[in-house]
Amino acid sequence: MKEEVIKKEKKPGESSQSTLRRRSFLKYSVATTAGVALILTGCKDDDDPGTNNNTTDTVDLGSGDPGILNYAYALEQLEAAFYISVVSHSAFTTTFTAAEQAILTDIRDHEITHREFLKAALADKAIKDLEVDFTSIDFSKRDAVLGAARTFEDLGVAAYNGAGNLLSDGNLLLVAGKIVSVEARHAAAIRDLINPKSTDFAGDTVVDANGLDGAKTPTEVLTAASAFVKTKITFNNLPNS
Amino acid sequence: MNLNKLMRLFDFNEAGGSNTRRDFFRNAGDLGIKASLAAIPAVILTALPKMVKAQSSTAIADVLNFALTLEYLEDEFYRTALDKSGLIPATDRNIFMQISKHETAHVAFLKSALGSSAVAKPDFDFTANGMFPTVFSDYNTFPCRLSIIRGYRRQGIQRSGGKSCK
Repeated sequence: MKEEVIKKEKKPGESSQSTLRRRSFLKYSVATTAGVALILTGCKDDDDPGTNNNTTDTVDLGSGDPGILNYAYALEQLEAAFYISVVSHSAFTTTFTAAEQAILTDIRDHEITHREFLKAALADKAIKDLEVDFTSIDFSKRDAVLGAARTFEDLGVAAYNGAGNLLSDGNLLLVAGKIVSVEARHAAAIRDLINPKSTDFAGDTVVDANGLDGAKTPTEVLTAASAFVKTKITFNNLPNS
Repeated sequence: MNLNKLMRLFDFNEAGGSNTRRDFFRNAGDLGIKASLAAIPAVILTALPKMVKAQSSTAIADVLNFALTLEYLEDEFYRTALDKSGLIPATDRNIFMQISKHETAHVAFLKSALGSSAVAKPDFDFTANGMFPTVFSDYNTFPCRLSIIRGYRRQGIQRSGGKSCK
């Protein structure tokens, strides 16, 4: 699995800068994958519904720390699928400038890495692949794509911020922090594409008077995300405090 | 702001049984981080406790004070820059004002959380012992030299045609 993750990230024709950045991120994530996997193995969650209760149309995120990681994994699946749709759309190269294409492609690669990282960490506790539904998004329209991207990134930031205190293992919290900061970079970049050189990159609608980003509960996040996911996600066993 | 990298540096330093400023710089492979560290007075760096998992309230306060010290650094950096007339072009000014507003809020938030345990703001030297004498007079030095704004730099300044900050 680790080898696969690495191979997925090496693409011909990449600038040395982005390759380097991605490589150092991977060096970190591959190293911690083993650690996270060990942590998960050590969890007492034999009664975790996990993947066992999954039917064709429904997945249950499970309980404890693996449940929270599955929650993150579900969101990363959604984000990765979205950006894959963006970049692979026939209008991509005509809708976006070269610089914008580079940014969106970079974000896609990060989301794929996040998805694969969480999948590897969860191992046999990982939920199955979600079936997504992006029919409401017109991928040939710049505004529609960037607007949806902003929604996904803002939601991702709020989701991680709202899940951190639900994790019991401090090492997992550290990893979640390293992911949420990347999501916030994405959110800032997308917001700047929508309204360049404005204060929207960290606008007052997302950053409060204390200079803090928002946080949403799994219920709020999954309700918002459900518009884009066909697979029914149940999460009754997630920790809630 | 590379908090994790900074924390790793501190950790490494203590593990090696050495706590000189020079060692910080040798271990800091990144010029931006070197500059950030150089801006913090030596007494602050050497006084920082080894930060492992915060378990006691004292340890938690230590970590929050570490964060507060970094926020002091960022806050003063942006406020000083915004006060220098002619440094930041008008088109970029609202961006830096927004960042500055957040840094000021972070300082206030952490000070409020720490109450009487909050450390005082240290005196900073943003020239990093003279390494960057034009930090607040040359716009190409100002945004490029401190790693604390590196994330922003890549998104905004390079794309808008500013000089590359390698």
